[in-house]
Amino acid sequence: MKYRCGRCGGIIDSKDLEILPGIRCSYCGYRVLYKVRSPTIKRVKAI
Amino acid sequence: MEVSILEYSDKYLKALVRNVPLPLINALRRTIIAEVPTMAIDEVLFIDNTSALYDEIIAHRLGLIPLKTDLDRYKMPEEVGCKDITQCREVAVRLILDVEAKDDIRVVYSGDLKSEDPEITPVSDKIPIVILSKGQKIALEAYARLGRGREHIKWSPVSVSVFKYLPKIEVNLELCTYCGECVKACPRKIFSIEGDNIKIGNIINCILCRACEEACPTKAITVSWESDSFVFYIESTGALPSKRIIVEAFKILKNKLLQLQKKVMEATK
Repeated sequence: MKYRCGRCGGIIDSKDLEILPGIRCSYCGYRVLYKVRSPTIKRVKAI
Repeated sequence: MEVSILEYSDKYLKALVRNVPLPLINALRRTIIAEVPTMAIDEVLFIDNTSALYDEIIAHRLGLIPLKTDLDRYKMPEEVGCKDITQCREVAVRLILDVEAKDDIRVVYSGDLKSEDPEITPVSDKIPIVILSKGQKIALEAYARLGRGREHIKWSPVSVSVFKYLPKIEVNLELCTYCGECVKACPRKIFSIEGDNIKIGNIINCILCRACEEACPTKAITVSWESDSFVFYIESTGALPSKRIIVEAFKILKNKLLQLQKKVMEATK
């Protein structure tokens, strides 16, 4: 699973997050991260 | 049975039906709502969606967009044994939505859906789906197929399918004082008084509220209805013309009755 930093825009893997204590961008240390949408196609029923 | 058409266009039909039993006209009403097939989006493949709405909400909104339907060229999935509608060309139509708000906020409308079949398109181009703020985008493939209203209301060809009893208003002229209270009370403006005469206008407009009965000081007015005459009204979503909806409903009803007859005959042999 990948996350995008809210400040520098860097893409961080969830495994990288486990290296540092707390949830922080491994490039700039910013604490706001956004989940990146999976590149796979998502199938949804229109109900 | 006597039928007279009161109002008619592709979008709606209003008819006065006389000498027909209540269960029969109710069966027709219910068949129209739940059995006449139409096209609607059923599966959505999301490639990208950075809008504020969840994929599921957008899929739900897409499903509710009425699509112009061609009943002669497409089949129900169960008729051809189709398990996955994205793989069956004779069953489903693909519509593509690929919109990005590049410079400013943008509303995505039903008109942005590009259909592979030019005859299966949204009834209106102006149905809003989602608002994209600058930089957001949405890309998806939607698959529409035939279905019936009993499965999901998105497949119902009508927004309105109703009937009411034909009202009957009787005025006892021996008791009437022509005071005009009924004229004031009637919300549908059915009554009028001209000199020493009370006139009842278009009875079909009466909503059986009985305000005239209550307002009449001498109790000269009696409101009732005819038990075997009905005002029948349907309003199409635009998926099918109103005439075609009625024709298809009768076909389906007839087939069901024939099936019942066959089963009864087989069981009682």
